Amino acid sequence: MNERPDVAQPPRAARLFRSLVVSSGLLLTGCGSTVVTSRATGPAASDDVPSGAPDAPAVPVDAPAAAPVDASVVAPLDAPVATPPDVQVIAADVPVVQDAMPLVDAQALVDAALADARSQEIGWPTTKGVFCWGNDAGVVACCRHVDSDDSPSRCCAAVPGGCAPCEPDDAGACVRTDAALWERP
Amino acid sequence: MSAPYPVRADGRWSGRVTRRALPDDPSLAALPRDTRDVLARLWQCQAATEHRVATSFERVHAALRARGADAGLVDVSARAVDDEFRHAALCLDVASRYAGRALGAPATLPHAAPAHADAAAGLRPALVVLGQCALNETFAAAYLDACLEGATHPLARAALAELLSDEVDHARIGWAFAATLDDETRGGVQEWLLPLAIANLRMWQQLSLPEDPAGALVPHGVPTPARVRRALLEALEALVIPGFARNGFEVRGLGAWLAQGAPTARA
Repeated sequence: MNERPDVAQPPRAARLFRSLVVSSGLLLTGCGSTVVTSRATGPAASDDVPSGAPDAPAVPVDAPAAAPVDASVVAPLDAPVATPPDVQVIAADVPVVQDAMPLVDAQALVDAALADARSQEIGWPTTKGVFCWGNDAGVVACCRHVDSDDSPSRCCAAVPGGCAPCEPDDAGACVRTDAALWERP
Repeated sequence: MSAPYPVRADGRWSGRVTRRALPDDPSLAALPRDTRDVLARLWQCQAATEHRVATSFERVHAALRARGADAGLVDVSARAVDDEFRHAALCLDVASRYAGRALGAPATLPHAAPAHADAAAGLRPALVVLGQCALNETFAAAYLDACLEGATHPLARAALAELLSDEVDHARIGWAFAATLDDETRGGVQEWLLPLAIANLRMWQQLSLPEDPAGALVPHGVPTPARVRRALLEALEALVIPGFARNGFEVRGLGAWLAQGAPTARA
């Protein structure tokens, strides 16, 4: 892992970490004018994302000066000039994590976590296409499998709580073939 | 092109879908028809999934209110609902440009989210916020960053940058919220960290992108499946785990999971 201060994070990751985590306090009430503008109509904390000029140079990264900056990357945001004092060296922002646990314990921990019913819950639906199909009629079906035994290529339609099997019709849309909900184990 | 999704006049860009108008991209005309169709379908699908996530943020907003969270977070989470409608409109616009004709809005997808039934009722709102914002939106930002990495066409770059600028704020809601947790809640969340991460990463790993051995879609902001897998693991290592560590959580379990390749199912 890269939590240790002496391990340089890749520039992209360092920039994202600062943008997402270190600068998150900008959203809190009392942290400058950001909140006021973001909840009204104006720019938000991430206002300076160069949406119209995505190749703009990155905001100076608070990583060591020697770290190269990938100029092709959009600086996903970053705090305006008046950023609160959380803009410091990234390494100093990231706590040092204790030594790794013994391998056997780690394996047991992960095994237990994967068997934990809480890990088997569905995750939050992503904002990106997940097993989606669409056609010119605008019909889109998306699958939400959480069971690794199911093939992602299977045609299915999302329904609350699971996934319903279906087949593509002549128009290419997924049509349910089974009224029963697909249930997670 | 008018947006078929409701965009609030008091939203982030005062009723506009994007901060700046999307650029015309005359190079699209030279693309093979089947490539344009694939890209149109991808963006149309994304319109559907972005629309669906508006419902997720309604839940986040309710959860923050239920917890009496900082007013700034409550307000930005309300804005995030509108952000997702704007994203849906943006994606449909881009889909139509690739298609070369106006496409209809895709069917509304049903929404399902984790219930966290095993958690104490008082803890569930915190799990909702952290699961959606600190985890899901952080993975989303990393995914979009990977999309942008290879994108060279102006339309794709502009659209992706617009999306990313909002996702950053959405992830920040989670991290700022984590920083404000009291010790009791933090302790309750601690027991859920690894299960939450496993469930969320599993969803992202199920992302299905077209086969693109020649990399023809990469300049249009569609990364290869291998690049997506790498981006997700990098996000776990460089964003999620340090993010929770920074906010006072014990992350050795997450680290052990990552060290084993972050499996999301038993072997």
